[in-house]
Amino acid sequence: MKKGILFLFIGILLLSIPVVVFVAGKNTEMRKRAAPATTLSISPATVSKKVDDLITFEVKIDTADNQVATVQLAITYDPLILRAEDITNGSFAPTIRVSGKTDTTGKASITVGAKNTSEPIKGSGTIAVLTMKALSATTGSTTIRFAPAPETFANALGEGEQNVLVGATGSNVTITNANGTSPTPSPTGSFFSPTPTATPSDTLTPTTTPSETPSITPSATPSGSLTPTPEGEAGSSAVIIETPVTDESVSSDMPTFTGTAPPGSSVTLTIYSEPTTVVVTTDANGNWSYTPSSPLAAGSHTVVALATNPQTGATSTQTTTFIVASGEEGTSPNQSSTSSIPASGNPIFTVFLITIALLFITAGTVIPTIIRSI
Amino acid sequence: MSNILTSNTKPTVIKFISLVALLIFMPILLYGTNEIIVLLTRASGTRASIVINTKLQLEQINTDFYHAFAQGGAEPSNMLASVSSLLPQLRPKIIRVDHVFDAYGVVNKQGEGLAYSWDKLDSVIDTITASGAKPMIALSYMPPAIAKDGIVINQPNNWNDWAQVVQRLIEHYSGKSEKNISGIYYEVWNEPDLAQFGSWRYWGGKNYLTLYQFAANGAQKAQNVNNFYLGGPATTGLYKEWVLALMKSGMRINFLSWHTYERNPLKYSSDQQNVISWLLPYPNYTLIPKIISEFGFTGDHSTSYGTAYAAAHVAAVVRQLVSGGPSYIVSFQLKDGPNQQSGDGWGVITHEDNGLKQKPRYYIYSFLDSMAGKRVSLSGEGTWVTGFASIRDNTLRVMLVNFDPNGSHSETVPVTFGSLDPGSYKFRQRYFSGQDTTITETVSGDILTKKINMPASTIIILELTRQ
Repeated sequence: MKKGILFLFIGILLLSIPVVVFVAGKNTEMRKRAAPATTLSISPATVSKKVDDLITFEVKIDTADNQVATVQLAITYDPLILRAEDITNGSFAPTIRVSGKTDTTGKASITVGAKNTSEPIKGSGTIAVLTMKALSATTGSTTIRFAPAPETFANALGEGEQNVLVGATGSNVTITNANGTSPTPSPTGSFFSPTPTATPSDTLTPTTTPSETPSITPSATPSGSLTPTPEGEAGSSAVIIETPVTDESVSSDMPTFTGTAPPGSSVTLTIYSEPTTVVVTTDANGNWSYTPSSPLAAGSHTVVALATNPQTGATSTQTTTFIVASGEEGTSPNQSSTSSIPASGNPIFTVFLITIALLFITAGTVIPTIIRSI
Repeated sequence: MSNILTSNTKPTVIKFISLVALLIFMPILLYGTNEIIVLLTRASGTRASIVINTKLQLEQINTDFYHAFAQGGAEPSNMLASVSSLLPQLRPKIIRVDHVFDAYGVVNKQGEGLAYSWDKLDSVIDTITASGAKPMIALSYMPPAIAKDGIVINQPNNWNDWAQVVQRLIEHYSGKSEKNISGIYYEVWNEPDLAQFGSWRYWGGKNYLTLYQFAANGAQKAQNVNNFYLGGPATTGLYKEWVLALMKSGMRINFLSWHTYERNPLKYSSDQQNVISWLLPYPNYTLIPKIISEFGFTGDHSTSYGTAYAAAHVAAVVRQLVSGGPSYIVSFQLKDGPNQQSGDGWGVITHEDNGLKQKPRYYIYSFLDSMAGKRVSLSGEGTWVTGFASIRDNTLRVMLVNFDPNGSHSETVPVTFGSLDPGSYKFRQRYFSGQDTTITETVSGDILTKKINMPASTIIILELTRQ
C-alpha cells in the first residue's frame, strides 16, 4: 500500500515535469511572437549631396519574426528641394504589386511584395530603391520620411488585418550648392513681415530684421559647416518615451505614457496591438503625456512615438514594449483571442503551474519520507 | 420681301414649314453642340514631353503577361482549329475558353447518374496545348443535364452534381492518368453578375458563393491530379464587394479574376492599385495571381477592333501595367464569330468565312516583345502619348503610343535621351505601321533630343545604340 502511494506520487511527479516544461515553452513562444515589430528605414540615414546630384536611397526592412507578404510604401519629401526620379523594388521584395509613382507634390509610392505565400519576406534587406535628384540647396537639412499608416502599411502571413510596422525611420539630406556652399537663409513671406524659411540650429541663431529689403542678419557667424543633428538619433531633438520603460510590466490597463520631445512639437503615439493613434503636444519644457481612455488588453504591447520638430521639420521615433499585467476589467476572453497580435504569456498562469509542480516535487520527496518514518 | 411672302402664304402653311425646319435643324444643332463639347473636352489634356534617364535602370520587364487570349463560344465546335497555324506567332501563355459545359456536350444523363463525353472539348484543349499555352477553363455554364429546367444559367437541381461535374473535369484535364496537364487555371463561371449569364449575386438565393463553394468541393475531391489553380469571380468589372465576399468566404482561392472593357488605359492601373489596397487586410491574397480574364476597349461590337486603334489600346494598357500589373491580361478574343464580315468582331483574327485575316491587333504583341529587358526611367508622359523604356544588349528602346479614346488626337512629341555618353549613336525609328528608318546621330554633350510625329493610334519603338 505504502509503495503504491509512493509510485503514484513519483508517477505524478514525472508527469508534471514535461507538462510544466511544455506549457512554459508555449508561453515563451507566444511571448516571442507577441508584438510583431517590423521596421522600415531609409538608407543612408544621413547624406550630403550637391545640387543636380542624383541620390539613391534604399528602403530597408527588418521583419523581425514576421513573414511579411506585402508592403505599401509612401515616401514624402520637399518637392522644392528634391525630385523623385523613379522608384522600383529591391531584391528583398521580388515582386511589384502596384507600380511605382512619383509626383510633383513630394510623394513617391510603390507596393512591393513577396514572390508567393511559400516565400514570404523574412529578415533584413532592401525592398525598394528610390532615386532622387537634388534641386536646390538646403539651409540645414531636409527630411525624407514615410507617410503614416495607412499610406505606409505592411501585412504579414498569420497576422490578420493588422499593420505589422512599428517603426519607420527616414533620412536627413543636406544639399549644398554646386560649389559646395550652403545658401544664406533668406526670408520669405510678405514685404512687411518676412518669415524665415529656415530655423537655425542651436549653434547658429540668426535674428530676422524686417526692412525694405528683407534679410536675415545672423547674430553669430557660424564656424564650419552646418551640421544638424540627424533625426532619430539621441539628442535634444529626439523623442523619448520615459514611461513605461522597455519591457516594464504595468499594473494598470490604462497606463500613462510620458516622455520628452522638442518643445512645441507634436508627438504621434501609436499603441499596438489594436493600433490606436493619438497626437499629443509637448509643453514649453518639452514634456508630453498621454493616458488611454479605454483599457488595454492584458499582455504585451508596443508604443511608437513619432515627433516632428516644429522648427527643423526633423522627425524622430522611439519604440518601447511593455506588458499590461492586469486585464480583468474591460477584457473578455474573446478580446485576446481576436486580437491580431497574439497575447503574450500569462504570468499568473505560469506561476500557478510552477507552484503546482513544486507541490508535486515536494510531495514526491516529503511524503515517502513521512510514510517510511511511520 | 418677307411681307410679300407671308402675305401670300396661309398661316397654316407657315406653321408647317416652320415645324419641318425645326425638325431638320434641331438634330444638326444638337450634333454641332456635341462636337463642340467634344473638342473643348479634348483640348484639356497635356501633351507629352518625354525624357529618358538612360542611366537609371529599374526592374526587369515581364513580356509574358499580355500573351494571353480568350475565345468565346460563338460556335459549338473547336473554333481554334482553323487558326492553329496562326497561334504560335502570338506566343500565347494562356488561352481561355468558356461555355465548356453547354457547348461541347460534355455532361449527359445516364440513368440516375452522369456520363461524360470529352471528345469535342478535348479537341479545343489539345489545340491550346499544341500552341504552347496553358488552358484557362471557365467552368461555365451549368450543364443542361443537371441545370434547373435545363437552362444553362440556372442553379443545378442538386449542388452535389455540380461539384461532381467540376471534379470530373479537373480529373480529366489535370489528372496524371488522363490529360496530365499541369498549371491549368479553372475559373468558376464567366461574368456571373451579367443577366445574360444568370444574374448571380454574392448573397441571397442565387448565390455565386454557393456556386463557388461546390466547385471548390469538387476541386478538393479531385484525385491524382497535377497542380492547378481555382479562382474567380470573373465579374464584368472589378467590384470590391464581390472581391471581399469571395476573400472572406475562406474557400480555396488560388487566383482572383475580373474583366475590364474600358477605353481609358488608366482604369487598368487604378484597378490594380485598388485591388491590392482592398486585399491588404488579407495578406495571403495580396500574393495570389490577379488575372484580367477578358479585356478590350469596349464590350460592344466595333469595327475599330479591325484597326490600329485596337492595337494602340493594347499598347497603352500594357504600358500602364508593365510594372506591377496583373499576372495576365487576357485579350478577348482570338477569332471572330461567323457572319461578321462587317469587321466589327472582337477577334484578332477574322473568321474563316471572312478569310482568316490577321487584324492589326494580332501583330502588336510581338511588336511589344521588342521591349524586353530592364526598364529604364522615363518621364513626361501626356494625356494621349504614353510609353516606357528599356535596355537590352546595349540598345535602349522607347515604346511610345498615342492612344486617344476618340481616335483623332495628333501631336509631335519631343523625346530627350539624357545622361548619354558622348559619341556616335545609331538611332532607329520603327513604327508599328511598318515604316522603319535608321540614321546616325552624334552626341557631343550628354543629351539627344528628337521630335517624333505621332498621329492618332501611332505606336513606335525608338532604338538608340552606341556605335
